[in-house]
Formats: sequence, C-alpha cells, structure tokens
Amino acid sequence: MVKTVMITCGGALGLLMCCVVEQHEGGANPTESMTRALISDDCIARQSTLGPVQLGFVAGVILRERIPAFERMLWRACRGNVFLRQAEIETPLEDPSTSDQVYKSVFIIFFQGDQLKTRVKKICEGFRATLYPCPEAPADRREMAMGVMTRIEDLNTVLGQTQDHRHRVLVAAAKNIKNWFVKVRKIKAIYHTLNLFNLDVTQKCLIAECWVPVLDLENIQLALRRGTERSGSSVPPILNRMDTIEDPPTYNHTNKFTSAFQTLIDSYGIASYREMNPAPYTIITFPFLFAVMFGDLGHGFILAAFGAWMIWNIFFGGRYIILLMGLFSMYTGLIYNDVFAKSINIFGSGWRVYNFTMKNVSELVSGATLNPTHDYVGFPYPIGMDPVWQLSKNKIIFQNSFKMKFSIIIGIIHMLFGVVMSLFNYLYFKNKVAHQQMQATENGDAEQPIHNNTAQTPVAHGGHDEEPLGEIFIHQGIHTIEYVLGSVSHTASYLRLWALSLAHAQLSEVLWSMVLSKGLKVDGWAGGIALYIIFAVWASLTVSILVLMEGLSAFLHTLRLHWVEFQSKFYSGNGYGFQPFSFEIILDSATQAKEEI
Amino acid sequence: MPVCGPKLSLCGLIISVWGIVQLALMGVFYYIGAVALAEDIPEAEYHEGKLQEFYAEVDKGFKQNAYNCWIAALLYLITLAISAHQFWANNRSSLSV
Repeated sequence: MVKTVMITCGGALGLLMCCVVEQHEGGANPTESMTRALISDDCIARQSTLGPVQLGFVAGVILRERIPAFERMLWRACRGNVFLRQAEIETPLEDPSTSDQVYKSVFIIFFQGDQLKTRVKKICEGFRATLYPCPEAPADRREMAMGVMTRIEDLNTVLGQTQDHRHRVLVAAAKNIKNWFVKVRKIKAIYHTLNLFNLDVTQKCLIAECWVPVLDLENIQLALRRGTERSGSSVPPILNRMDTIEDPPTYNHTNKFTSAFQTLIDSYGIASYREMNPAPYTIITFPFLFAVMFGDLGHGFILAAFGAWMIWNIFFGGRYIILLMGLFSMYTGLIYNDVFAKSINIFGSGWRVYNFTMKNVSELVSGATLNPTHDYVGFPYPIGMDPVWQLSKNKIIFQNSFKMKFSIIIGIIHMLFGVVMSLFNYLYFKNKVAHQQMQATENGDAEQPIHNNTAQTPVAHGGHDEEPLGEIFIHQGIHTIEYVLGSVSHTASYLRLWALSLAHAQLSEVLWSMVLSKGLKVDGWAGGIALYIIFAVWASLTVSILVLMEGLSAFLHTLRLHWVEFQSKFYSGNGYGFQPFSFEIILDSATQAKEEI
Repeated sequence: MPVCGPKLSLCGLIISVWGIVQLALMGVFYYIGAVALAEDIPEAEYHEGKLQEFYAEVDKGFKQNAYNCWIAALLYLITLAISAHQFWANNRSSLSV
C-alpha cells in the first residue's frame, strides 16, 4: 500500500511554489510554472544564510471522503497558515484488515515553523492519515521512489509465492480431509462413549454397564485382552455378567440376504426379547404370497432379471427380496399358465376333440363343449392349468372359483402356522414367568432391598388369581369372541390374493388385446413395421403398469397380510433393538446428516 | 458421436433385446400355428360351406404374422445395433470428460 507521488518544490522564502503532477493552477502557461523556479538560486542561497525561516511540509495519504473535513480542520486549527494540496489516487486500494476496496487521496501540506508542524501532524493523526517521509532534495526523492518500487516488486513476488504455497498446502490437505473427518468422528464417538463410563470408588478404573450378545462374550474377552496388550496396561480388564431386571434389547443376527426380511418385520415392531421371530418364515411366505397375486411367467422373469441385475451391480437392501419375488412369480405364472396373458402348451393338453369331421365343424354355431367323459384323455396336465382353458369361454368363471378357494386355503394354512408360533411363545414366556416368580420368593426371603423391583412383577401376575371367577369368565368370553371374529375377518382378508391375482391376469390380457394384438392384426407386410412400433408401446406399458404399479400394489398387500393377518396371531413386537457401538453406523449417519444439509 | 443420451440408449438396448427374443419366439409359434395365438391374426371371414378356403386363409394369416414378427425382430436387431453404438459412444465420451 505504498504510493509514490512526484512532487517538485522550489523551497523558497516567503513565496512558495508547488506543482503536483496533473494539477495545474490557472495561468497562461501551465508547463512553465512547473519548470521555472519562482525564486532564483541566489535568492535561495541568501535565504539559507538567513536562518530559521524555513518552509516545512508533510506528505501522506488519507481516505478520500475525509478530505473536505480534513481541509476545513487544517484551515481552522492553523488559521489559514498552512497550504494543502491533494490529488485523488485513481486505483482503489485494498484495506489489509478488512480487505475492502477503499479510495484514497494523496496530500501534501506546507507550513512554517515547528509549532505548526506538530499541530498539522496531530490533525493528520486525528484523521487517520498515513504520513510518509519525503526527502527535500529531488535526487533523494527519486532514489526513494526507486527504492519503494523495488520493495513493491519484492513484496509482490513474496505475496505470489505465499499464495502458491498456500494453494499447494490446501490442495494437499483437501486429499486428506475426508480421512480426517472420519478420524475425528471416530475419536468423538469413542470419547462420547467413554463419558458414559462411571468412575470407580477408588478413582482408578472405569466401569461401564452395557448389553452384549451372549454368543459374542468370548470375542469380547479376546478383544479386551488384545486392547490391554496393545495399550501396555498392566491392569487386566474385568468382564462380569450381571443380573438385571431390565428387559434386554433384541438382537437378530442377519446377513446380506436375511437383513432385508428382518427390516420388513422390524418396521412393524421389533420383537420382544426372546419372542418368536417371524423373519425366517417370511423369507419364503413373503415372495410366495406376492407371487400368488403377481403370477405371470413373463412379468416374473422381468422382475427376477431386475433383481439379479441389482445383486450384481448396486447395493440395495431389498435386492434379494425382488429376486425371490420374481422367481416365485415365474413359478406361479407357470401354475396359472400365463406368459403375458398367453398360455403355453408344453406337455400337451389333457383334452382332445374326438370324432370331429369337417361337417361337424361347419355346423358349429358358437364353439364346442368338451365333455369330460369322452373328451378328457384320462390324465391331467402335469403342471398347473391346462392350456386348453386359454381358448375356453368359461375361463374366468373357472379361475375365479379356483383362485378364491386356493387363497382361502393358503390363508388358513398361513394363520394356523401363526397360531402354532404363538404356542411356542406361550410355552417360553410362561416358563419365564414361573422362573421369575420363584426367584422373587427367594429374594423376598433374603430381604434384599435392591431387588425390590423383581418382587413387584410377579405380584402383578398374581393379581389375576385374585380376580373373582365370574369376571374371569366374562373376560375370557370377550377374548374368545374377539378372537373368533378376528379370525373370520382375517380369513376373508386373504381373499385379496384371489382379487389381485385375477385383476393382474385380466389387466395383462386387456393390455395384450388392446395394444399388441392391434399390431398383430395388421394385414400384409406393413404389419412388420406396425408391430415394431406397437411392441415398444406394449413393452413400456407392461413394465410401467403391470410390473411396477401392480408389483407395488401386490407388495403392499403382501406386507399387510404378514403384518396384520399373520403376525397378529403371535407377534407382539414390543421390544427395542440392540444398538451396538459401531463406527460404520456412526459414519453412515454422519454422511447422511451432511447430505441433508 | 452420441445422439441419444445415456438413458435413452439404455432403454433402447433393453427394449430391443426383449423385442428380439419375444418376437423371434412369437414368429416361431405363428409358424407352427400355435392355437393360443389364433385370436391375434388378421381377420379371416368364414363363408357358409367354404371351410377349406377359411382354413387356407387362417393358415395364410399365421404365416404372414410369423414373417411380420421376424421383420419386427429384425428391425429390433437394427435398433439394438444403433443403441449399443450410442451406449458405447456415451460411455466413451463420459469417460474422456
């Protein structure tokens, strides 16, 4: 922020003459006033011998907007005995503290005598003007200007190098910043957990109470020992199992295949501790019930292909569910004998038309009726629906009753399975209550005040026994009626299997006959091109409506059947999840929070 | 040079693979006269007493549709080539950027 200003000045007694570059006082010949000295040299020589009457000056820069006030102040304070010249500096300067762009003016003040000098300097200080030394002799000034120039150049190189260096350092740091963030988050999580520890009475060790899976106890022991060795501590850690009256959290071991199914169950409610977990059975029943509603070999193949592609390419939790749903749909599609609403005849139909002559055919009015006694070959179609139904007029009537009965059978099996599960729950929890009761009486004898809470639980259970017999009858009666009514309505709820599968089959048939069939019915060679276009339309409609929309709807209905109809038979889901200390979870949630911002 | 975007070329790839497989198979089924596809042939009119002609007409429709299916499958083969080229061009341009 150094600015040089060229000042020529013929210092003289009594008179003064000053010329700031680019500023001319009026006059006929401005250039002359710049070059010609008003006072001849001998005059100067005489003056110097005369002594103390000497014209002094100070030069500096000041904020441009302060100039008028500065000038007025100088005039008043020095009673007009100073002479101020100023010029605006065109280029804006950068304030080093605020890095704002400011406009400044350069000024020079002439005065006479020391008294005025101190006063002028005070005023300059007051106005926050920056004063720069300015030698009197022109040669010195030139030298100084040169010096300042070189210094500016030096400083510029230094600044440039600093900037380069800073850039390099920041670029190098940017590579590491992610790792640093990860490290900081890990350390923070560790210290946060350590803060939850309690100090021992001796103040020499830390005590933590936590849940651990019993299966992993040995691993934890090993890890603790390893930690002790690595930290070089001489005190071995102590891991103690303690008795508690708190309900432990629920922890289900999962892998990449089962975790998605466990998530489906957990989003309804996490199992109470040691309750039957429906997830293993859901792995089969979920895709199967879905496939009952989505039965079509073609659509199932699309879904399965999509699922398989996801397994190879992207990390999505539900990819195995989608693959299984697709495979099961292919199976049910084979059973329904539906490939994009068309049947395939693999093994040969079980129905024949015997003794049909040309005459018979031409006499037919509206199709022939097949008689089971002599048109049936004697053995059924090996798998699924006979392809002959594709051509029959009563296909829907037959499939309606078939699918309706089938869905009720599936529903009852599914719910009975749930009831069986409730038996296991009942056996386990009844044992547990009895065990607790026994423990409580023991504790009561020993009169340990700490275990007061344990003693209270069985009292609540014992309370049932004191209920009068009549009320028990009423309660049980109400429960029974509720249960029976619930089971009936749940059975009816399984009819959605029938409704959705029928709707799916009909929708795909309509799509075939309304779209693709139009392309197939075009006569002549133009049909090829028409088919080319119409097939693309049909394919995209198949994917968007039949696979995506219908698939989503079937998925939701399947979810409902599991959550409500199946799990209501045995599953309370009142537990809470085991949340182990895991860097992975902590870092995941941190990155998610960052994305949300 | 890529004309279609990456998504459109991928869409073209999938539809053409699907189209080639399904239309070629349907062509075969039409060629062997699959009964399930009898509803999806150009209209054949039945005149009283002229059963043979009706059969011939239906057979002609089956054959015609078989060829039409194969023509469409061929067109999808061309689409597949174009889409694959576009897909490749897109991948290359996105890699070079």
